[in-house]
Amino acid sequence: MSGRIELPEVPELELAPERPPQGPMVWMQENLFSSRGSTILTLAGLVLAWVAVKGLAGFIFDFTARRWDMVTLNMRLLMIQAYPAGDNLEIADEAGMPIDQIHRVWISLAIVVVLAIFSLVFWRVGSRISRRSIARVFMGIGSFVLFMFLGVPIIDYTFPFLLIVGGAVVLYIGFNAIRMAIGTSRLLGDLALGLLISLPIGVALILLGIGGIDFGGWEWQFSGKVHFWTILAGALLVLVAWALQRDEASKEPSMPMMGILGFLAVVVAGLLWIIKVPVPAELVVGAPKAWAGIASSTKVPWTMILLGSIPLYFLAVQLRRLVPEKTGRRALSGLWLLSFPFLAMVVLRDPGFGEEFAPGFSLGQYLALAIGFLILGGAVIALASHPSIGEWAAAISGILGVAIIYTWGFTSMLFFIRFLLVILLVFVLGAKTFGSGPARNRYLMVWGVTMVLFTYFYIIAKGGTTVDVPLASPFGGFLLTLVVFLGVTLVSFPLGVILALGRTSTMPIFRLMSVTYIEVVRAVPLITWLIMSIIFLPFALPLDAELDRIVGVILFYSGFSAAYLAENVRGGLQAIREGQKEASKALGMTTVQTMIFITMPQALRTVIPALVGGAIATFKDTSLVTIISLFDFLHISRFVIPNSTLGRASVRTTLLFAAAFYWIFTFAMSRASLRLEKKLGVGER
Amino acid sequence: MTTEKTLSDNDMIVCDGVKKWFGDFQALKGVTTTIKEREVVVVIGPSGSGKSTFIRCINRLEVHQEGRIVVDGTELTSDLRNIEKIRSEVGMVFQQFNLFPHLTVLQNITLAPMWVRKKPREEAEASGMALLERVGIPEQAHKFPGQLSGGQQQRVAIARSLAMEPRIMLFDEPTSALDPEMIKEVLDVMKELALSGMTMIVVTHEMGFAREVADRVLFFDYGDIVEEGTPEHFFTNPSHDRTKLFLSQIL
Repeated sequence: MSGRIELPEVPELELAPERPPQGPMVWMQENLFSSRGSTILTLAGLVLAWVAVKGLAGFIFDFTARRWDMVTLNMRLLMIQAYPAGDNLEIADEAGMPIDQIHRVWISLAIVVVLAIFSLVFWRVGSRISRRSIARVFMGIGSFVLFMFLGVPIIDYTFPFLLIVGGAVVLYIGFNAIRMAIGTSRLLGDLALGLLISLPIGVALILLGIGGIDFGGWEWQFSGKVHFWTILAGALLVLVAWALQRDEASKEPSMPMMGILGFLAVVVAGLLWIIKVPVPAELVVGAPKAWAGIASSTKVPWTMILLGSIPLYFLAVQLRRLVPEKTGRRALSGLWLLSFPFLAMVVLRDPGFGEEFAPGFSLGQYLALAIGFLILGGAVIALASHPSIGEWAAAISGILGVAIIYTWGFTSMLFFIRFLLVILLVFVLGAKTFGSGPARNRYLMVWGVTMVLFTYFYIIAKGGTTVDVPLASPFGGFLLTLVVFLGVTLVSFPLGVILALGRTSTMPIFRLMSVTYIEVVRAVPLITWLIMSIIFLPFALPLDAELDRIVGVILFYSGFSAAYLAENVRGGLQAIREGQKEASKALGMTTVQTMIFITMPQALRTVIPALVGGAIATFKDTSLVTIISLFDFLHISRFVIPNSTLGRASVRTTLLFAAAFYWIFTFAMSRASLRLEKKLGVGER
Repeated sequence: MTTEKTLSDNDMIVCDGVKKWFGDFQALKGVTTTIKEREVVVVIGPSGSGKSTFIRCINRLEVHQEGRIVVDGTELTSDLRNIEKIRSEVGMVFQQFNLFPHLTVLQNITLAPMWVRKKPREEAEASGMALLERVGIPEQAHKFPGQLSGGQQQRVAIARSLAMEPRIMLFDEPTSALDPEMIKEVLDVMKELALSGMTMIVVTHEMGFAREVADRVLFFDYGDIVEEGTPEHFFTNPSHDRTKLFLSQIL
């Protein structure tokens, strides 16, 4: 073999000189005050930031004027609104509200947490995080907090400052002592550091709970104290950051991410039991505020989830050793996709059977149809994927196509059958490409699974719900926001991809249809579509059952969002070099294979930032569903709580809470997209 | 000028009066030639002379408007199935490599055998590794194309084409985008391929390669074959003035 080429030995390379760690002073000099211009910009920026945030910070922590008690009192309303509370008055929360159905929400949350932990393990997310980057984040947040809050007037200066300085000195000495004592042991060193890192986060979390802490009856109840805690948290952050950066003795420049998260879970679970939140002293107008522990209906499930997640993590690690990583990831992806319909329709909506079904509905009829389709359809697909079928595959697709046009357009028929015919056609069309040869059995199995799942969810959707629905929809509050957001994301993604393909297709009819759809849908405001979803849905889709209002919203909103998504994906498709398609074609791949294996993965990867941007926009715009009388998170903050008898004058507080809550989620999404981008960027050109 | 030719058994590619226009510009002006099994044909000529268009017509990446192209007994028409059948038997290597950047080297190689030839994954991977061995870079199997040098990328591209077990290989200036020191490693692979009896059409500016390996040299200018012959005839005793001028400029 003459093509074999031996690689020459690579010569030894010299290491780059190590840069000595620089102190904060040097850093500031180099970055903030490097020239006259930058000094002016730094100072001007600081003044502007201070002016902008000072008032807000005072507002947030002014305990007497703010109504944080309204946020904590109505937390369940904000999260799940009137999610069917059930009628068993025996099971009630502290305020006497029945909660015998609330476990459905907790079960959903627990399922999501379980999936999340297994995913973290199987995708090896953030196995280690560098101390330097922790230090950088801490330094940033800590100095910001200190800068802002030292400027806000507080009630008593002397005592807090003494505590801050004293606490800082004690902590610093303590940290160094721990480090010196156990500096050689990586595990203990990590533990000590984890403790130190969790501490300020824990303090910050107390503040998120907006309250004081109960040290055996010694309660802190006025605003100066809250303010003090903030400053202490800021000082702690800066201190830990400094210590982390100075930690030259450590040869391990990173820490286990999961260790920190686990430690945090324990700290938060513990805090749930000791922190106190402001509540009205009595449920009467004008009652003074008081401190109360978190309701046990909240803290017990959270503690179980948080503490349970730690053994679960180790279980997942064990499982990763047994199961091949690829299989595990595939299974998890499938479970994530299934989790939404399962949680939304089965766990939360609890389908009823028997007399709960819509009138005229016969379970046996649907089951018989499904089994018939499963077997006959399977036979048709097996036939279409047979190597010797040749031209007859096209004939089968043609017959199915005619049947679909007839059943949808020219006769009345069960929607179940219409949908099944469409699914069958898709499978027959793909049979030649994906289902022949060794893949044939797997393809038939996919058909079987699809049929079972579709039938199951269809019957469930047809059936009523045993959960007592008080309003237009069982979903409300932040739960509604999540359901609409996830539903729209899941439905609009495939739709948008198909539209993008149509837009760039060479088939004139397909292209014309896509272009028309995109241009019409984008030209009408979203609010119009949302209103039309309740008025026109019966015309657009004369489904033979009354649908939850939320289904119409998700369908119309998805249609709207898909038009934008399609334009984004089109941009990605056009960015792919012609050579990629040529190379794929030159290998004998069909147009569909080229699209699925070559162009679409690359196109989607290039447009991840735009797709996540779209998802974030969708997340925020779910607040528009308030226009059709759905009680979403923002609507409750803006109207429901401030209009309640107790909640007078609380609108500024609740809005601030809503804004912060939205921000946490959107910020997390944008960070996740950054990570994804970096990860997928591997090996790119 | 459609002269009827009789197909003999070992004719791999028959081109008869192939014409091709890009808008008003005529790229091919009635190319007529026959390439036999196991023959190595090198196509040279100045840029814009239609040599790339010519070989791209052979697996119908470009569509010829007049004339006939018959590849391994199948005529190229607009019938999609014919095209896909021919493309799976005709391998092509591009100037810009055109590896799939989102797939690893091994995935690049096994993708088409698995989905076009319907080979089981294990079989495709085993033969993919054997091909990487053959082009000399088995240790790169699980890297991404972006992590490889140009010469290595082009060798992967050759392995990717060979994985389809083609009967004909087309090379469209395979070394033009490479640094000089990487050209040799690619040419070595191509030489080995030629010696193994593969039918090859190579568009190249590497005259050394043409002289050493080619059975026949085609000289293109203004969209047609100006002169053809064995390398000895072509490099020592060209008959056409245009060929002489071209050779004097590049040798």
